[in-house]
Amino acid sequence: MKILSAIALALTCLAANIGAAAAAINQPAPAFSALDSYGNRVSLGDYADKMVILEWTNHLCPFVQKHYDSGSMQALQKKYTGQGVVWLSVISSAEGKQGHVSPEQANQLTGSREAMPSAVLIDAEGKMGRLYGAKTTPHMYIIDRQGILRYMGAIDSIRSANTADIPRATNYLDKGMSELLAGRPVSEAVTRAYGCTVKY
Amino acid sequence: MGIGSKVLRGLACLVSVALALPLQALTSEVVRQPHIRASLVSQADSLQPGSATRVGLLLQPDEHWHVYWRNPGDSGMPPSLQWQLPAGVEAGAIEWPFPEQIPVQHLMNFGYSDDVLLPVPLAVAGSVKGDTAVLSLRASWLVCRETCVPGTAQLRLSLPLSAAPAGLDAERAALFERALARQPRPLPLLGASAEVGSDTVAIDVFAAEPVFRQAQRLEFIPATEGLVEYGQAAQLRWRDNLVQIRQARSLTYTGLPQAVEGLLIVDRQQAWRVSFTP
Repeated sequence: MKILSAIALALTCLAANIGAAAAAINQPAPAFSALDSYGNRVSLGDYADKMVILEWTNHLCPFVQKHYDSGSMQALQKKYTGQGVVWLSVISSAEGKQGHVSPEQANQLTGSREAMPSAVLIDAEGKMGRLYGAKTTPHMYIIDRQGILRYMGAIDSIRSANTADIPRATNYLDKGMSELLAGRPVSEAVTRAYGCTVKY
Repeated sequence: MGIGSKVLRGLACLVSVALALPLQALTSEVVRQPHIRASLVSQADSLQPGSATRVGLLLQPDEHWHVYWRNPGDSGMPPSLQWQLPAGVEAGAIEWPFPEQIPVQHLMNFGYSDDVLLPVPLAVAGSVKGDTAVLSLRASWLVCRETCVPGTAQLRLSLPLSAAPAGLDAERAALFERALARQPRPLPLLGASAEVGSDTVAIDVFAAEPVFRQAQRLEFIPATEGLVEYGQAAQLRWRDNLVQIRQARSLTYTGLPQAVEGLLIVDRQQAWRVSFTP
């Protein structure tokens, strides 16, 4: 019995440690695996030696619309995928909740909004969202070539749903990426994300 | 029925409009937007040059919908105000009534799911001249249920300027009384500490008076961002003038903030504002 309970305890500890591998800044980014809108399995391990940007999104959220209606999110996608960076848009809306889409709808949205992510991940069970502690849409993360999480937080510095605020704001994602690509540390590595709640 | 009686009826109509106006004028038009009504309300019947008064933004979300406190929690956005005021009239900062905790799955928001008046102090300089002062406010908010709708209203309130003491209207006085009763009071401290472990934040508060002696229920609402994980309920223990708060460390914690600030709400009746340098 004692051995059994010791094993049980060890397993519990192990489970707790696995569970605790949440996203933390300057730590290895949690390994994820999800299906994209074309049915391909996408894992963090696929992108060794590449920088990866994660963008939590919900096309019906006014804060997401702020950054897509203005074209600013697409411009960032174009800018960084053009430099070999992997951009993954993640949809963690649960089935029946706002922003949940079928893979076909996800592709239609990419087309109609002229978005340029490398892939759109469908995370309807919210596993990846919870793993990364994604709370809002948008919520942005940068993972460097060594798989270390280098930025987590807001898309920019002005917490509003107003498109007119975008030019006046500091875009934290753009700033962080520029710094990393220049070989410098990210000066504002953690910010408070703002937006709609992720519809888990 | 001759022309005379028509004129008379017309006059009676004008008189009743004129009588109705002074009452109407103390609250702006009520702007109806999706899932919410917004209006600008004055505490007093008139503005007195050389004195201070209050106005307030009254937000009335639909049932099950809510607006946000100054720290909205894991998502959301607090209302914001942009004033256009006559020279010599100055608006202060919003005096936020204490909020409710509004859980969403494993996340947490802080806000108001009932009608809420956000009072704003108004200082009127002695030099302000004229018969009336026009207060213009552009109010923006986010109103949410599961989904969120941003809204904006341009509100306008014309108030008479008067040298006489400003009167109070009972209905509006009640609105302001409720909002002011819900103002957090600064908690005088003997001491306080915040210790941050790898998973947990421990905050100990020693109040100068045993204000928690009668408390049946105590809530902690953090105002400081990036310290605790809002969605993981705080464990609270209290006795007399001591409160111990234990809450999961924020996923976005990067270091002790310069100031730790939060509210301690006693039985949803009264709130204390705790603020200290850790």
